[in-house]
Amino acid sequence: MRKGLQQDVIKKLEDIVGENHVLKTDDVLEKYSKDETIGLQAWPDAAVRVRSADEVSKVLRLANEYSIPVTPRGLGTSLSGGSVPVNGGIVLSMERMDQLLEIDQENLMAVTEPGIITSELHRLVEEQGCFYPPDPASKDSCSIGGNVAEGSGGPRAVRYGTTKDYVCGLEAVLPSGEMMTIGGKVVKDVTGYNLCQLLVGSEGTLAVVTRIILRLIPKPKMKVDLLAPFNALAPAAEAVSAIIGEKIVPTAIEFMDNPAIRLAERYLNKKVVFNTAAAHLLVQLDGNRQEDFERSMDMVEQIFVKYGAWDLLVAKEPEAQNRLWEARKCIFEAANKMGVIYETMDVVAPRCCVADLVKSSEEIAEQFRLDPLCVGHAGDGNVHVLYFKKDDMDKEEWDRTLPKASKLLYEKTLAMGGKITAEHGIGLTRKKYLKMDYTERQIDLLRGIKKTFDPKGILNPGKIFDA
Amino acid sequence: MKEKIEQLIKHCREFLKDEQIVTDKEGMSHYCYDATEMRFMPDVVFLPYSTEEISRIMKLAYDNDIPLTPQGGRTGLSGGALPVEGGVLLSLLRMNKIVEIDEKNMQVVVEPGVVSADLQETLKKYNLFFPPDPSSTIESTLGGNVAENAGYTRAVKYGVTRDYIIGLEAVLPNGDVINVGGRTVKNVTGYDLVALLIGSEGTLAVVTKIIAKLLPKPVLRRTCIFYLDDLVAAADLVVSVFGCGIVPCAIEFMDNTSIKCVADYLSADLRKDAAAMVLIEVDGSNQSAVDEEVRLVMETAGKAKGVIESKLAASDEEADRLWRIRRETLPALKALGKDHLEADVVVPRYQLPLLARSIQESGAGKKVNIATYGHSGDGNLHVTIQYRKRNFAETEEAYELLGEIYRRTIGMGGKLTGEHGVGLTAKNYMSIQMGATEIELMKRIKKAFDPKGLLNPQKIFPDEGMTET
Repeated sequence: MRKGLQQDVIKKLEDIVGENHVLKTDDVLEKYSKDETIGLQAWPDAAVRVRSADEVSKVLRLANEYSIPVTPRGLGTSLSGGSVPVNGGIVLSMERMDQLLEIDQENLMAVTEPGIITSELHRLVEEQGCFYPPDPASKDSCSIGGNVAEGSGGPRAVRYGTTKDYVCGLEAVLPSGEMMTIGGKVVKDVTGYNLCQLLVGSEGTLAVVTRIILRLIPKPKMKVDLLAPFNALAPAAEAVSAIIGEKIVPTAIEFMDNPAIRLAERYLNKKVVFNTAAAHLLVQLDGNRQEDFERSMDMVEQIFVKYGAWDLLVAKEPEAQNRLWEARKCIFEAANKMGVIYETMDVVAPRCCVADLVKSSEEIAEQFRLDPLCVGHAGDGNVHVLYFKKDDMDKEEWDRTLPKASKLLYEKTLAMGGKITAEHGIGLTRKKYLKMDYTERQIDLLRGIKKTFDPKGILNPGKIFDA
Repeated sequence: MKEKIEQLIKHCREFLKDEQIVTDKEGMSHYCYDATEMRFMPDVVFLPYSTEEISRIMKLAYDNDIPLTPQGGRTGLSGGALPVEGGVLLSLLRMNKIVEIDEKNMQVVVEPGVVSADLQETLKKYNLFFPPDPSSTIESTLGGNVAENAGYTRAVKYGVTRDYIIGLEAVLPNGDVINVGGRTVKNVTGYDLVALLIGSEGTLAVVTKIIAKLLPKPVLRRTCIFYLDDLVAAADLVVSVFGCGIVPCAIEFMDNTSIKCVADYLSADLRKDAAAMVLIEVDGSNQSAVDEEVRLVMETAGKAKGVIESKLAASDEEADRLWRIRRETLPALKALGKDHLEADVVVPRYQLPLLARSIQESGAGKKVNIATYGHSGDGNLHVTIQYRKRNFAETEEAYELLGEIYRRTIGMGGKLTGEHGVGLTAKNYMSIQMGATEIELMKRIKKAFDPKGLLNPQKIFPDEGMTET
């Protein structure tokens, strides 16, 4: 079991953040022992809720001195085990550093602490007529610091890119406790190496981010959502290419297969429209002018019809739009709350391979006797494949089967020119598959970089690759 | 060294043809300079055709402790591709194939020696568009653009080189070949080595293949210019444009010195009495949308404080004439025949005109001449200081002023370089911007890639004891 921290370390931590913010007992620590990755749990010796970069620096300095593992944590919505403290030690919780510090209208920049909930940040910047596009599905419960750590995407990535494309500056603390300021309120900066984008997506293994400068854009004045049912996925995927071929770049192009539609129905406990469809395509368009907007909409409609959509729903008002997205948005929550055993893949391939990727994932499911479900971002080639354990399969067989199925799916994905994770990260769950994409030499390079930041290996140990 | 080089050449002759090896002074003199007009002679120039040849050359050089400097089209403005320590100059100009154009996924795979303009020309046939097209397009190479993370006038709307590169093949200093990123637009597998290599100025690895994403080509554009009687008013003008929800593809800026200089150089009819000029371009694929946007820009910016004249180009030809004014600024300044120092500072967008004024003030009453111009939409200001090298007092004044410009930039929350790179010209100013922690960290990253410090030596990091603060 846990060996616990020495009393003098606990005392020093309490001196830094205050007694109330050093959590030590099992009942309060449970929350910090897991994230949203199914089946993963590891207990920390303590969770420390910091309030400032200075406190972060002091905690890290102390941990570094005593060689105590530190696992930084946002709001714990990771799907790859990134915030699970596998080596025990300290969980460094950023939940109290949740203030939006500034919206700079003149420069279209936001300065924020890492702990703010992403949708809260959206709300605050939109109140000022600005727009921060990245919108991970967990936006109502995840933090912007976590998004930075994972390089999170979201539906709007098709048109606007991912978190990485918006981070212009960071304040971060090295494991040694030294503070760094990287980048700033500038959209162009080539002074020295690009530490900023190196930290984005480094899964909290290189430094602890304590302040984030984000680029904003003017808020588009109008948006519309369209949902169309298809009898097969292949023509739906072709429709996606046709839309982009027409020089229309939608904000989002999402798809869900029939098992996803059915799961949403069970979870929402109501009928979902077009529930017999093999696939739904959900397209969001935004813009500033009615006329262009109508034109793009007409074009998308025509393309849908041409590729076999048998109906179309259009939502222009927020309430109707929420209804249209309801099924798509609830999938992960539904899978989590149904009490079933499953695993989520986050594969990505060049956009025109999406249909092949889904087909492969279904064939693999068939071969290994798993129940597949596919949802994802058709516009950028990112498919979330969920494999569910069949009722008649015992847990042992599942534990044996899943790694084989995963490995095969990753092989097929890589053969298409794809990657094993597009937005969820390697973390713990995909660590053993990293070698499928990286050569030993490349992993060595990652280790070399890790070592330059964290010579003693205290920060988020056990993630991405073995030290 | 001489002996080591001779041995290296001997080994390289086993797999390179004679025409790929340059050792005579005259031949090598073509590779010893860039747009900074500094010169450093290498000991040998290699002109490889393939990744394998590069890997073998690099392994041999590394094993024998010979410095190696990669080089593209020699358009660098910070001296990044100059072989300061001699040794091997690895020219990538022969690796100039466009390997693949993937229309379906809108991607292109190119070798590093492909010239920017050639890629643009080829993509036109496919109605595709690779936005990062620096003003040195007719000579600059894609490899160089990646090494420097080059910007260009349309970065306001379309971002910089980094925003389009999704995969790289590269050779590490010891000759090992790596592939980072790939063919997907989203990828979070491991650390982002693609982002780290882009803009690393050829100091970490030699890029041998580039995978870039493309956009559908916007077919329409409208261009307008605004003359102002108050330079600082340009700040609010720019904000007002963004304020109406429009992201133009370009917002360029020139001060009075630049306007006058270009007017004389091109014999163009410009408002020489204006304190500043702002050029704005919007683009798109739908006629009515583009017209509407430019109407809004004219209306909003035309009413901005300080505007004394505004003009909308009636045709593409007229737009080209307006662009020529901006594009010919540096050549016009160079044509004055003086020596010059360049700065490529960047500040938060709104601060750009304030920085320009602050620079003018610091140059007031001095012998040297200062012109400022640049990319107002993204806060990137180019500064040209004209002086006479032979005049000791002017030289001293010019360098003092350069230091002052950097200090004022950092004071406004800015950075030393927005798109040209640190290279040789800005390295001894690094400590003005960065603390020892950041610089040490970068040095350790360099060491993780290049333990012997042989790849493109003496770039980016300040010389010992030469640091300005």
